[in-house]
Amino acid sequence: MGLTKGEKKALVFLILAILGFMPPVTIWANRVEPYVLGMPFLLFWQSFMVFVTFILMTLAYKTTERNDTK
Amino acid sequence: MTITLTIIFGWLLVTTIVGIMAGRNRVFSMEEYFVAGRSFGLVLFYTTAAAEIYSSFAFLGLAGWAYSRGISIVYALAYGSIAYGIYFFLGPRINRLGKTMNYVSQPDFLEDRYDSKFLGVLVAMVGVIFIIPYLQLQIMGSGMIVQLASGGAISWQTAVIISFIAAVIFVYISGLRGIGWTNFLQAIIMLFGMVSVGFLVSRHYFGGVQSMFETLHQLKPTHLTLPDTAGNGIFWYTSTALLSGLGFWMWPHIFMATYSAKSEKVVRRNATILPLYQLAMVPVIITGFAVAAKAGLDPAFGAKIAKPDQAMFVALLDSMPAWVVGLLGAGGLAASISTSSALILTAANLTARNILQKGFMPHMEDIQVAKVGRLLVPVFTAIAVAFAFLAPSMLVSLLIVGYSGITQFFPGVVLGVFTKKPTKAGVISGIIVGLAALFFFQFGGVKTPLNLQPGFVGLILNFIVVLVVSSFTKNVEPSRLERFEKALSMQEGN
Repeated sequence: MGLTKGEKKALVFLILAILGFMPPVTIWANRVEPYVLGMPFLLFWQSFMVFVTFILMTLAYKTTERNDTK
Repeated sequence: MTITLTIIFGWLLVTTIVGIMAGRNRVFSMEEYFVAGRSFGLVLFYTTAAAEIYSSFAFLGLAGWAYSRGISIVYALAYGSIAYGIYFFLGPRINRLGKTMNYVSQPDFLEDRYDSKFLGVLVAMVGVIFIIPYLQLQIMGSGMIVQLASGGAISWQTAVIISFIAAVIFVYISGLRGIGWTNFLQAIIMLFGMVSVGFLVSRHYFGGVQSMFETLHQLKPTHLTLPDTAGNGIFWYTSTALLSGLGFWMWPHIFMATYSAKSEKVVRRNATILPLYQLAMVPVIITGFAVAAKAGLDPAFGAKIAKPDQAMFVALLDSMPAWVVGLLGAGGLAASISTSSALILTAANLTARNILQKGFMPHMEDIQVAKVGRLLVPVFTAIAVAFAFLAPSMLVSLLIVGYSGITQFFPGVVLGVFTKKPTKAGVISGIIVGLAALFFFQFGGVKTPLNLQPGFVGLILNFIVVLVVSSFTKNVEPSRLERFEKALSMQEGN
């Protein structure tokens, strides 16, 4: 049970992703201006974080691949 | 019949045929019917998982909430990301356990892990109860699409009955494999369709997305930021996002879908790419805001929206050619119906197998269980239809009610997969305390502090109770723990 060596490292990426959606980051992002890509800032930030989550989880995938397969 | 409605019914016919074709020539067995013989590869599993997500909630609910309640809908973007991130770690293990221990349903795992028939039956019952609001959401959404597409010729009640019949037929003919293939088709329509149309609606009314938002900001200055504590504020957002993010994989039907993946690698790669699918929600949310701005400027347009969840479809009908609305409506309806059938299938399976056979009538034979399950299909659908008529509610609210219940499985599942600590007594009392807190805050007339989501407060108490009670109650016998430990050693056979 428990996490493998690679997964323990990969967990850091998940934590980063979750923090990006949580206060205090959300409190900071909770504003209308500046508009980015036409969207009010909070909507942009949340969409941006979705993309960042994809990048982070890709890194997590690579990390587990590198550490856990022989 | 309108062009829109013709296209919608035509599509429904095509998906039905695809469902029949996919289910043909396969021997009927429990494993085949419920987990598609554990054979889904990357693409099919991805679209199945994605289409579960892309249901009435995404097509209508997101826009309805953005239109009427505002920016707090971004909780949906947060919770999906959290859910897929957790799946990266949890999913491969659930898939492995399903394979090595031959689990078919969610309670199978909990019953076996904690050596408790009672826990298995409890989890099955709670699962079935909280599937109902989720199913109600899908059926209300389908009804709304059919009603609006008919231009009012079909009443909402009739439309709901039509989708009820479609869903039942769909379940009978196909099982999970049929659902998988039709999902694949509609995922494509929805993905390309919604993304382009989402931006086109804003352009149609306001010339662009930013000018639409600027107009909306002037009309409703508080619509685009979260309030501090009141209403759907920061605390509501945070607790709802966490509740749903942690709970996503606790849905009995989604938990089961994990068993259907061919390999752990398929599950993990899915967890990595699923977040991208959520970007398709953004244009839907933008459309909800566009409707709010348009309705603010033009009361005659606003008057067409009888219920907030109609916002998306009313905007499409008003601004797009009939055939485009027809295609999107068809995709939306098929998404609702396929999600409905997965839910109905799961509720029937849980009741027949985990509650009746395992809990009360151990002498029942598998073939009888399958028969009872099939008989229960229209029963559950009818219950959801009754709720749709008697207690209609906003689609997003219904989804959150469902999450509030099923997320109470999270401590038992996660602690049970990753640690040896929790005991049977701990997990059972945790679920009961969590649900009791949920009911107290939901119906007891007492508000949660800071407007936190009641189910989230329940989840916190649940976690505490599991840890405390497990510290002084008896753990399962060592041989059982060893069996799980052996199955879960993730080093080999990735």
